[in-house]
Amino acid sequence: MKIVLYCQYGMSTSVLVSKMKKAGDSCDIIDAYPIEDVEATLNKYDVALLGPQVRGHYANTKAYADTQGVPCLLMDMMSYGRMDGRGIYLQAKKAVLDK
Amino acid sequence: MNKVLQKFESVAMKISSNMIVVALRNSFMSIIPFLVVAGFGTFIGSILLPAQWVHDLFGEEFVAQFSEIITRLNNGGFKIMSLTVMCLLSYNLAVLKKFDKPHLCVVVTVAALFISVPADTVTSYFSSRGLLVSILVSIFATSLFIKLSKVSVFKIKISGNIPQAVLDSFELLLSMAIIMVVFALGTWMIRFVTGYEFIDLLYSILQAPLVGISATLGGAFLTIMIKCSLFFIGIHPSFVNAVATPLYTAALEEGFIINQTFMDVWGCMGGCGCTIGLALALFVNKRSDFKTLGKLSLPLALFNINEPLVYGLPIAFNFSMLIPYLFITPLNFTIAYFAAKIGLVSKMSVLITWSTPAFFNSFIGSAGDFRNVILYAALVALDFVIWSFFIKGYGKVLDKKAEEAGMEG
Repeated sequence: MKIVLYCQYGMSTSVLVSKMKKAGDSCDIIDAYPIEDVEATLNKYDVALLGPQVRGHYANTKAYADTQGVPCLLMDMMSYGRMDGRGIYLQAKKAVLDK
Repeated sequence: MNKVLQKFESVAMKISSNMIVVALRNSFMSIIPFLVVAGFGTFIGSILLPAQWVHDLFGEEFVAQFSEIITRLNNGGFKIMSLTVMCLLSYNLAVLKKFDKPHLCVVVTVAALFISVPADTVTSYFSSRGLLVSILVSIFATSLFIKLSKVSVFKIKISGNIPQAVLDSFELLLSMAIIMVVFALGTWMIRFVTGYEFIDLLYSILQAPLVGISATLGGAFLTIMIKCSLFFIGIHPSFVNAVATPLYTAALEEGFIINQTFMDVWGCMGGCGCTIGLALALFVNKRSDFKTLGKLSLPLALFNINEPLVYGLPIAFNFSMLIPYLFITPLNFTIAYFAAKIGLVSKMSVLITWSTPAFFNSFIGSAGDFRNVILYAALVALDFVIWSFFIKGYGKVLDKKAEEAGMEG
């Protein structure tokens, strides 16, 4: 499964990425980018997750993601804050399976 | 309530996506490394130059030459801050507007600046004094130039075996000429009518008051409370920084106590809203969920990152945390301001980035005054006490919620 995370600068998100990698399979690809890079990167992944800081961009990003056939979700605020890698990984997995 | 929030969010998003705001923010961020290098030179200089042992070991001549080198280093930093921001702003704005010759926009802007200012004083506007005028000239000249370049009747086509670069610039010759004439006539007219140079009017009417107001305690309160309020409703205040950073950086060069470094050190202790005390309070708390969050956020707080706290406690949308989050920083500001004002500590004088670690930033930012580190520790302790009080209250709120949920189940 290929997961991409988008947030403001990508700093605290990188901690989350390493926790998600621990919760997932070794063959998963999980990357994080700043929100400006959506159009350049989104279609390479199976699911896109947005951090709570870039909530304002969700509508636009989801519209773009829909045109690419990629499910796009907003990460749960408290799971993001508490760096709940496992919870967010499962959230992403469910979105891919529901597609 | 949700509708109001959504409206707010879309407005904030529109502002922070606005081309001028994005271009300004990126331009400023690009020159910060230069300012930091120059600032670091000043920092080293202010530690070494007054030190007696340096004079004894290396002699007066060395000290004089070393001081000269530091001055030269500074010439590449603050002294050309506005010039570099102006050039980058026209370039970045042109790129965002998808104009294919952004380099020409830079030339047009530089020409416009030199046209607008009497030749013998133009270099004084390369530093923070010329910040506002550089930004305005850049935006106006670039936008007008791009608009004019699209008008086909202005395009001059020449034929023959001529290099592409020459063809391109000839095509835009008329647009360039119009801009240059507009600036020359405009600034001449202002001088003719008012007796003052446009640039001096701009400085006294707009820039000096704006910088002056932001550099007061009230201005600092307003800035930080706007930022914290935005974080509280889940919006990243990056566009506030786009306006505040240039103003506070100018304040730094002009010697105000409240300046960019002051805001970075005292307003961002552990993260925006001074949450390092909160991370500590959670770390020592008996509740297991608080303790876990404290363990997670404390190392990050040392680097002034507090997203785990803002989203994880949460602070955002959590009214139990609103009062400390909004008011602890103004309290810290007040204490730090008066400490510098009455001379208990040196003021912040060296530009640093907000990510410079806690405690270290107060040392480096004040050009090596250790008393600021002591002040920092004292404020952390004070904040710890206040945050602990509110954490206790929040813990009770959580217990009550759990109780009610248990009773319903």
